[in-house]
Parts: sequence; C-alpha cells; structure tokens
Amino acid sequence: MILRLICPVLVCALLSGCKSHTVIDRHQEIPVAMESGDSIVLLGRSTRLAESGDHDFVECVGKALETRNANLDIIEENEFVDAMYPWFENTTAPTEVGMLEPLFKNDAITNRFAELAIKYLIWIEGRTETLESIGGITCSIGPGGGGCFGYKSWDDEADYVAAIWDIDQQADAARIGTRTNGTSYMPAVIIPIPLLARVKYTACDAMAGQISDYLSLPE
Amino acid sequence: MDHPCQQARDGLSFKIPFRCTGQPMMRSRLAVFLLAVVFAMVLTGCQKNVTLKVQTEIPEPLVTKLPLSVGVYYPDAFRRYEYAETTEERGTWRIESGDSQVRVFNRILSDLFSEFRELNSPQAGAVELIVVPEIAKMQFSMPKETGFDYFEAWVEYVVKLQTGDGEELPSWRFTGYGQARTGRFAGFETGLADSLSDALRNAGAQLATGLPAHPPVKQRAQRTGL
Repeated sequence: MILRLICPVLVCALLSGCKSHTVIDRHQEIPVAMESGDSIVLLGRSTRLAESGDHDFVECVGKALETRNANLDIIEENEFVDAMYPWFENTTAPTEVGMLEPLFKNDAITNRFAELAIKYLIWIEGRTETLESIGGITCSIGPGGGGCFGYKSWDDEADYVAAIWDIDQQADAARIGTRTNGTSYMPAVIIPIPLLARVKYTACDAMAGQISDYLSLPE
Repeated sequence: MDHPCQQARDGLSFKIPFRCTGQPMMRSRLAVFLLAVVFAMVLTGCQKNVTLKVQTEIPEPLVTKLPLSVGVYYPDAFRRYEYAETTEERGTWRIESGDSQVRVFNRILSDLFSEFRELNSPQAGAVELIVVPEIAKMQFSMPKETGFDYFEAWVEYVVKLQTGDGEELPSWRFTGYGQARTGRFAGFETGLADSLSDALRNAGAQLATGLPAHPPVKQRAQRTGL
C-alpha cells in the first residue's frame, strides 16, 4: 500500500523535478592579455550593508577554474587580503576601478601587486536565495515508530556578477553575470526524499566557464 | 452517577486527573514540583553565563612610515578592557579583549610611524605626538536576535591626541566592525569570538588607513617631512 503511494510521487517528482536554467550575460570592454606567470585573484563582496560576500561561491568558482585550467595561478582570497592588509578589508577595499589609482600611488601596494604578478582582480558579488516555497511536511514519532508525510517544493535563485579589473590598465576589463533558477522538491512518505536543484553549483560552474573563456585559457 | 475518577478509569475521559490515580495530594505536589523544575530548566537553559577572551592576530600592515616620533599611552581601562553585561534576556557575559586591543594598536602604530614607543604616562613628552586610545563602546548581536546567519560585533574607539608639549589636538573617533558566520558544529562562543576578532582586525585596518589622514596627524607629518 505504502509502495503504491510512494512510487507515483517519486516518479512524478523525478520527472518534473530539480529543473534549473541559467542565463549568462557577458560584457567585454578590454581584450584579454594573460601571459605566462600572470596570476588572478577572486574576491567576494556584497552590496548589502553589513554583509560580506558569498565566500563559498568565490571558493567554488576558484576550484572550478583550477579544475578547468591546471596551469592557472589563482591567489586565494584570504592570502591576498592578508598580503594587502589593510587595503582590501570589507570597509577599506576599492569599490570601483577608479579607486585603484590613489592606491597605486603607495609604492608598497604597487610593489606587492608586482610581487604577486596579479594581472586581473575579479570581484564576485551576489547571493543565492529561496524565492518561494509551497507545501509542508509533518513528522511525528510514537511508541510504534515515526515518520514524515507531506510534500514541499521551493524555488531558489543564484544571481552573481563578476567584475574583472585589469590591473595594468586600471580599467574594467569585463563583466559577467549568471542567474540560475531552479526548483527543488521534497516528497515525504515516512522518509523525506530531497530532490535538490543545485542552483548555486550550476551558477558557479557557469561563472567559471565564462571567466575561463574570457581569459582564453585552454581547457 | 459515577464518581469522576471512575469515569476516567473507564476510559470516558482522556484527561486523567492525578487525584484519581491514588495518593492524591502526593501526586499533586509531585506534579507541581516537576513543573517547577521543568520551568526552571527552561529559564536557565535560555540564560547564558559566558566568559570569552578575544584572541586576534593581524597581518603586517602594508603602510609607508610617517616621519613622526609617536608615543602611545594605554589607560588601564583600555589595557584591561572587559565587556560585561547582565540582562534577563541575554544572561551574563564577560568578554576580555584588552590584550588583543593593545597588540593590534602596537602592531599598527609601530609600522605607521618612524619612531614608536609605549609610554607609562600620558604626560611624558619626549615624542612629537602622543596617542591615547579609549574604547567608548562595545556591542554584539547574535543570529537569533537579528535573523541573519552571522554574529556581528562593533567596537567604538576614541583616539585622543596631544603634542609632546601637552597641547591637546582634535581626537579621532572610529568604529571597528566584524562579523562571523555561525559554524555548523561550532558553539556560539566561537562565532562571537570570531566576530569580535574580525572587529579588531577591522579596527586595525581603519587605524592604519584613517589615522594618517586625520588632519592634525597629516599636517604634522607633512611639516616634519619637509
């Protein structure tokens, strides 16, 4: 009896479930000029007051880039921020490329950038959030055992923008946006079965692909 | 008509009063006692009694030294700074951060000025500029209070300045802000300590970038540099 109930729910959920779609928006201003030995930095930030960037996403993009391009030299966010202390903290970091000019008047900063051979600074901002959820699951436990019953689904959106700054030219090199929407489902007949749309991961992979493509890195 | 206890025993009522199950007064007192214990446990469970010590290490600041001899005097209230709070909602908190505060200020100021030393009194005058930091306020918030998934901390400072001759200069006020995400398996103490540590790191960054731009300091550095 229970199997008869579970199977159709699972089949329906699997057939219709975990849909996601990604929209990519890319705007390029300066042709790429990566040379052997050049490195890049990925940094996270937020436009929301008192909220730091989505550093998990930044880390994910970094790993995806490394996986695609083993020879690419990516400086870790924490390593870069420590090396540049106090100029790239949440409250002191330049918010637009024009703010690099006064920073580069400081020889110590210019020299540190040269030491690290940084060609591009990539700022990633955005977030993943749940837009809407419907349904509900009730769990109960008693002397004879326990279980959950119900059905829940929710829509997630991962919306991120990467601004690529060319350090040599102190100018905006490119801007890449990815927006991924997906619906996750969780039917529960005794045991909840999550069928998750990996919205954040899909957006991360799309972003890494676009950055890799922009930097003309061989895959 | 049956006695109410009889009805209950026959299954006519789901709410079986304690008095119906024998030794009525004993059971009633036991129930009250148990309720009181549970209530007390709930209350104390929500109350916290926390003592934390903030440990902060900041990187070497990437700054150009200003040509000024500077002395810093740390008042006892700064050197042994301890945040204390006791409220019904939050419980009792004691957060010690004096050692870290001194370490952060020493690290930044020693790299910021060509000559730097700690002073035993704010009156000692063998330097061009005397810095006396004070903590005006410390605050923190927890995820359950704000609805965010991170801890936040603020430390407001007043940096008093005077020349080696004792002339008072306009002071400088700034706030260090820090935040730390709630660790999946970490206690709230870790999240709070991390947010305070981040606030001190941020305070160091603001000190390193803001103090040289503070007009009395900037003017003196320019004058000495000429």
